[in-house]
Amino acid sequence: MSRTLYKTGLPLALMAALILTLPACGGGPEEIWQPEVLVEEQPLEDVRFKETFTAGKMSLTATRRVRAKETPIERLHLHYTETWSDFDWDSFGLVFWSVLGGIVSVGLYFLFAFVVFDTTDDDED
Amino acid sequence: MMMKISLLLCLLLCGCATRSWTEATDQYRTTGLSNEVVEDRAVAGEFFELRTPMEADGFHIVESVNTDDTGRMQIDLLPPALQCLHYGHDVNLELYSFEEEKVVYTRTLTTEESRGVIREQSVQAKLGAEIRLRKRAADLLDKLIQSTSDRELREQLDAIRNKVKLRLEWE
Repeated sequence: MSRTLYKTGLPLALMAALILTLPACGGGPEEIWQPEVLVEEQPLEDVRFKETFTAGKMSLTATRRVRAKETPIERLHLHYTETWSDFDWDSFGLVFWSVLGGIVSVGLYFLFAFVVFDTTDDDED
Repeated sequence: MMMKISLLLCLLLCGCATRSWTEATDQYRTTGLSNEVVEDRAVAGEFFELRTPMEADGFHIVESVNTDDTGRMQIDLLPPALQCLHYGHDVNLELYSFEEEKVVYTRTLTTEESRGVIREQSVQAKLGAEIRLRKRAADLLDKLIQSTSDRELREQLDAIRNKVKLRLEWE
């Protein structure tokens, strides 16, 4: 009895431990330094508008004189990875019965093809 | 044997899902020397309010407009032109900047220019273009058609009226 319990319980416990510890598998975030250009703009004047007219509509193009400071930098990006168990009884049942159904189908095919409707004449020789 | 198979099956079916994402932080390190330039740059993605003065009956135009990536925005001059012709005076167009909290651009639309706008829009309408107007502006168009004695203007306004499609409040 205890042997049976041990044989059943151990795999179940292992599975439970696996499922429960999966979220911790991700570990800490990975640090990535990515190059980019840091742009700091300081407006020097008010916005200026340039008018153009076409087909009863006016297009305004807004520009502004700015002092732009561009600095090449490397910015720190954190790359996170998260892992979790996506087990649920619906998908488990679906896969389980699909596999079982497939095995039974193949078995039935061979049963009917080679046993029930066997047309080969055994007494030919 | 049965137990091993069921254990294997369970492990295969349990599976796990993974997602990953990247977040930028405020932490950075400089890798080269700064380059400073003074130049004209397009004011991209900025919001403005187009306004015209309020008339005695409460009519005025208030529209939100914004610049695209190249700093360009398009303003339909038909409603101000209708206002100009219906009320019989020049109309001041004002562009209010939400960022600077002040009027940053002013332009006067004269009666002559308004006639030009109507003429060009009527040509577009005759070519099949759809004319999008707010309900208030469309009402003003109807009033102007009824009140004007200028035959040429009436014909142009009629051509526009036939192609008007109302713009909803949220548009």
